[in-house]
Amino acid sequence: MISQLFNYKKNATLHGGLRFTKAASPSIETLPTPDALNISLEQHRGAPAKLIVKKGDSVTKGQPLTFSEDLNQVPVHASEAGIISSINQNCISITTQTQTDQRQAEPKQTGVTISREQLIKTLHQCGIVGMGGAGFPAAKKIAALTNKDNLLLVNAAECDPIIHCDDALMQNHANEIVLGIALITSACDIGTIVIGVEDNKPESQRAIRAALTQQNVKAKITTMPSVYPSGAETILAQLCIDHNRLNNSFPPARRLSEKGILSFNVATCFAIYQAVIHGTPLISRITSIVDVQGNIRNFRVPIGTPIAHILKHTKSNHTLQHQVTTGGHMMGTQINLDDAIIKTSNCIAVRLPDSTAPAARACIRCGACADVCPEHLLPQQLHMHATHFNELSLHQYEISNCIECGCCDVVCPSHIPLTESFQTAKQQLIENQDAKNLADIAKIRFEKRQYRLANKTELRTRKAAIKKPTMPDTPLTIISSDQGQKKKQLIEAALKRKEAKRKSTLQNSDNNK
Amino acid sequence: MGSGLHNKTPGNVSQVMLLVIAALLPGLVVFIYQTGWGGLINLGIAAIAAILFESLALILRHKQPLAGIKDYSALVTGLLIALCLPPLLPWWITVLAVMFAVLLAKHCYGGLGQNIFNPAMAGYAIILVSFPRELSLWPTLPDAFTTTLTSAVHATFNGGLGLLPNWDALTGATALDKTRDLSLQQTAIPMIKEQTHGLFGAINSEWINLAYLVGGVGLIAKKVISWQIPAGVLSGLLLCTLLETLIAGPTPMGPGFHLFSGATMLCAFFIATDPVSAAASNRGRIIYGAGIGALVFAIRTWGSYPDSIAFAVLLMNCLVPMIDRIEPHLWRRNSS
Repeated sequence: MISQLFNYKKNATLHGGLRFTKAASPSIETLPTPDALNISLEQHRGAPAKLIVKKGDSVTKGQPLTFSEDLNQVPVHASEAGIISSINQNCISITTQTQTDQRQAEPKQTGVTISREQLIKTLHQCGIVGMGGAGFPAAKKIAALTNKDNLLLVNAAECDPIIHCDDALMQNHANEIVLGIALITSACDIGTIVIGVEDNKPESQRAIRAALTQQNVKAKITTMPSVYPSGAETILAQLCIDHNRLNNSFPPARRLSEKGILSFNVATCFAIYQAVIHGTPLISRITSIVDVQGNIRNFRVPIGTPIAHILKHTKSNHTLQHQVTTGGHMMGTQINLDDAIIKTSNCIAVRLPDSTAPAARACIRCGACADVCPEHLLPQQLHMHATHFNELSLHQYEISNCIECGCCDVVCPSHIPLTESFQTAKQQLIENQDAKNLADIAKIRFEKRQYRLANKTELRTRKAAIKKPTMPDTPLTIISSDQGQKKKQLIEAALKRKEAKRKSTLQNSDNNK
Repeated sequence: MGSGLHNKTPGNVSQVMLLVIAALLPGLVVFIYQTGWGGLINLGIAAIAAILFESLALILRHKQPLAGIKDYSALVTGLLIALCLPPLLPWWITVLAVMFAVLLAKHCYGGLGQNIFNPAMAGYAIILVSFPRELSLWPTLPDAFTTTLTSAVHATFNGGLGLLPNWDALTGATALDKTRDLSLQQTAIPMIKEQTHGLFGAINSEWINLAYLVGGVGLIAKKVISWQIPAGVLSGLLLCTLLETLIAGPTPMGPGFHLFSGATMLCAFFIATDPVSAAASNRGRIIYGAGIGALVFAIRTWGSYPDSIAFAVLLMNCLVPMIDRIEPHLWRRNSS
């Protein structure tokens, strides 16, 4: 069911996009604790932090496994108590043990005030990253905020047709989310709070609204049409935020933080609440599990739970032919059964690969892709320049603004995998830029060396030039001519000696005869 | 508990082309009424030839012939050519036009999606410059099946209308032809208008143009074509006509005549909108359409051919790469 394409309708407020319908139960279920956890060191955008445990160590639930002061290197934590069975390059395996302890439910902080520095430190050490899918370190996001009177944009859109975890979270934990929002507001200089929710989640909206009044937090809830990809950060900002606020900077800033906008997913807000109030690091998340029949269920799973464990306990009846994807229907990427849940796994879906998908044909330039592109790009031109890798034109048609939502793929009558070609082209552009940067550095180094060498020789000649006049000219020539004569005499003497020697040997040889 | 996802009716190339053919139906009905058996035979010859040449080209290119024919793009090309041809045209001229269109204009460039020129118009332009006499011999319209099938077949397969003994009595110039001839003879404008103007456009061809307009609006409503190109063509033509009237006073061809004569509407909604050879961006499409409109006006007014759709479209096809190239500089998303 999932593998088939969807009914879509264009929408007026957001340019382009696709409209889907979906339904799922809001309940959050749990799974039995897995025997082993595979905790990846790279669960965020950035380099992994340094290991602080070794093989054989026994760890408690929530114990940090890595540590770093750098906000780019987010630590990971043990999701369950157990013994570290192996550590390889980017993954720590833990054999879980049943333990009846848990430092639990002792609210660390009762009030809802915390300083900005404290918040950044807490979020970093608790391993909080953006849970919508990108995995950007939350602490870094807050630290990057330099403006005064910032705007907090809470992303509750969740536009992918098969992802449901945020909806479930909002219906079950609205209070915690709002408390998380209040924490961020008190710590950072936030003037306005905007919460963007799609109009197909009335229960979630009601829950959030009730929590807002209960906690006395002033926020604006913006209802948006449920159109994919309204939940993409830049699109959400365009939909929810006042146009003047969004475009007032000059030169136009692309990053939201440069515009004084802080954007967090509701799941991240919840994690922030957990981290600050309960001191719980990010060790579990809610994930939508989609089985073969297309049923969506939400589970609270510890980070590091192997996919195979989840599929076994949700009775998904998958076979070897099925594909497992993460990231939703539109932007999903394929993963293996050995892979594990990471902090950004919002959806695990099992589906049959689409064997009936027609082969790609030549582009007929119909422009259907441009009509659905939420970023107002021209995918068909981008595709042409991406296939030929025409770097200048790719920049001209603003490939960097492509959010890889996949809308163009769905509507293309020639079934061209457009997004894939953009991803490849982007990757290529990044590699080229890296190579160019390296070459530039090498060039600068070379030029500096050349400059140094030239300086050295010049200094030497100048020194020599300074020394020379102090030496008298005439004696020098005398000495040199003297030396020349001496040399000549020496050579002549040597030659004579040699001649004499030759003669004597000749005489000797004659005598011998 | 289901996920509640709807199945999408896949919009593929075949469906797009079928919708184009469906939108052509009103025009086809009027065309067949006006041209009788002769027009119907032309349509049949062109359609069959288009499919045969398409399969030939695909076999020569080591591709699946069936898959290529199934997208109906060759059929559309054939129909569009036949809709431009006069009835009772020698059959081989029709075949030649289709051959040039499919083999030269389309497959020599790499098939569907790669051609820079509109195939139908390239094929039509080649026979228009090669056989001007045959293509200007239009029988008196509307025919409405008064010519019998046997005589139509006989004429088509035996050298066309020009070889019939009483051909002179049968021909009747099109409104654009007549306007051209009469204005060359310095006839007074009211007299020209009396002979060539119908209710709101050119006599006879206003109805077929109206039918194309109806089908074309349907295509826009179905989102098969974008509104930018037809709007560009029609407004370009209209603007030039109004400018001419403002500068040179009353002319034999008014705005209504320009819009509803010859193949104006066919061009605006079905020929210029061929996405492959049109500009890529929406703004570029308006420029492209307006260029066609202006060229149609220029060639009709000052050129030596009575109608000029083919040349206008081909000339603007040449400019498409340039329009696509300058287009991103013309607008910036963040310019607001």
